[in-house]
Amino acid sequence: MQRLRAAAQALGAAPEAGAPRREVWRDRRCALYRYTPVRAALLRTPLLICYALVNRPTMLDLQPGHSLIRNLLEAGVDVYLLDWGYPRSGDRFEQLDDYVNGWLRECVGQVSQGAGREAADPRPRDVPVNLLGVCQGGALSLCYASLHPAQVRNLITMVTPVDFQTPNDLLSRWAQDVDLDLLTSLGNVPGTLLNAVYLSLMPFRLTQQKYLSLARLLEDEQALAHFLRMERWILDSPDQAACAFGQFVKWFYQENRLQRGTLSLGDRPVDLRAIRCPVFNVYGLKDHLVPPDASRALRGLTTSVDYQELAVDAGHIGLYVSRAAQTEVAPAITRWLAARDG
Amino acid sequence: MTNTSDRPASELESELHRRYTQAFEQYANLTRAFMDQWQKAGGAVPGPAPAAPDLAKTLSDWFQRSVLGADPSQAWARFAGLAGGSVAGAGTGAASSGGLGSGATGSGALGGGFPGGWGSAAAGTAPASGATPLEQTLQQQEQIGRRLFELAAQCQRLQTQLASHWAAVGQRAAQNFLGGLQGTAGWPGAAAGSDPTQWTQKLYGAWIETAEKAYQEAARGAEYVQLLASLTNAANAFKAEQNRLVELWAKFFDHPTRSELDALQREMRELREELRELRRPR
Repeated sequence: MQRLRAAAQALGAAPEAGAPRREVWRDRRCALYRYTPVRAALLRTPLLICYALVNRPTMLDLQPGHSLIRNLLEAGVDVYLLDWGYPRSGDRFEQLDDYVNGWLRECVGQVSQGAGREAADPRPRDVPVNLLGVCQGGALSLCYASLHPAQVRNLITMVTPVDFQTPNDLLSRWAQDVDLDLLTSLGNVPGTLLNAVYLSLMPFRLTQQKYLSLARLLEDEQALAHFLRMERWILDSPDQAACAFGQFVKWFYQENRLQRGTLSLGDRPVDLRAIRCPVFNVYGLKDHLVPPDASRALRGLTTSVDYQELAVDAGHIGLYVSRAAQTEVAPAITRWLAARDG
Repeated sequence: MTNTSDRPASELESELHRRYTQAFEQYANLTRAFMDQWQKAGGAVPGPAPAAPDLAKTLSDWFQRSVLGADPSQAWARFAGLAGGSVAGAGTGAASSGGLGSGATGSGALGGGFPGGWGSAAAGTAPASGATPLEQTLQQQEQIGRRLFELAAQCQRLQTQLASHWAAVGQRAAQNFLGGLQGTAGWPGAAAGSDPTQWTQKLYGAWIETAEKAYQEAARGAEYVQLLASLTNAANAFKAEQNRLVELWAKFFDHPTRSELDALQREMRELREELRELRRPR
């Protein structure tokens, strides 16, 4: 127990293990970061990552050796990240439209203009960007690419639900009869509450067995630090802006509007058929949060003639942090983008 | 440049400590039960309940405690300020009041912030018309208090139903687990002189598999889904009534109310949206 305490304290005092980056734009709590390139850009088109609202993007860059972002940087991709920050109680009336047509749109514009790049950088500016959406951020990216197709050169979706009512989707089952108007009238939805719901999807493994494995890690400093970083990420779920959260659960989970083509944002219909750019859909075969079928549903919903899928033998998180994913996922994304960078 | 959580490291430390300790205690109880049973049965595999009632009960209780510790319905109840704990134990026949019982009545359900006596003193005494502002407020408090009482009772009923539901699922899981061991000649991996920490770990792993499977089936079932949604909605309704109560007194004392703040925040959001559109290049 003392070792655990010491390791947790050391982690708290340790500098962040993320790759170096610089804030290039901010609007209140939302920030756009550009990661410091580690080699000359291989691709002309920059990549903007749009993460989910319900967790922190730390997972994409947990530590060296377990980092999608570092792997992309090392492959010569110019990486930007949209960080949604932590909503406060005054943000409770923010809507999904604010996220997609507000912040995401601003960030696409900034990336397109080459925010944070050196003046001497010869790559063109004011060009469409590559957009990579993760989980819920993938759903938001699909909305964006539908509403603003000319601004997205290539679209990558990772562990992204599209059909929110597949038979194996336990979260969806639980969400169907929740009174969302009532819930969101109470203010922002606490991240701790959402955490409890995620853990209860597999309670025995996630609240019992996992912690016993910790006993075996106590002798291994690196493994213990990795475990603690994961735990910190798990416990760090931001509170959710009430209105946007209610819209997401109602429109996506309860009414399955994205898949059915009945979603509108800011009075504009979100029609996935408007997506004509190349699409790369990456999902985990062992994903218990977003079952493979929920992601695979994207096939045939866009009008892209260049649609590809990558099924990874991993879970929702393993797809980013597992050792196998390090050699499979980022290289596949880089190859796919490189072939479409002309 | 920041990539840090706004939650302090000490929070992570204490949360991990709690989770680790709980999981380890649960594990220790279970392995002790495995070993006791093994010694009693002379190394043979016990049959399913009732042939091995002690072990079946231990497994079933473990299942229920673990589920209720992680059950989202508990999280919703805590969110609403309803439950301080679980209703573990209800499955054995005695429905515990958990964190609801006493708090559901009187001023306890109102968060202790308002004297319950005010409401009861006002009942039947304040005239329906021509009442003073204080009398009107007390009347409304009385109505809200009654609604809170009903909702708390509803939540408790639902929690008890959930606990019974998980108790039944846990019993089935225990029987399935012990039944599954019947095909083996002795305790798997256990033999005289073998290291108990190794074979009990294997048994524990097998039990986790069985328990998770039983849970997954039950959690997808219509009965649980309906119970969970009902409890979530009732807990949220409880919290909404608490908010009404605070609003009522805030108005009475002419303090800023939640609805006034909401109206301001809505306006702020709309102004920001307009500003965003104005700034956008045309």
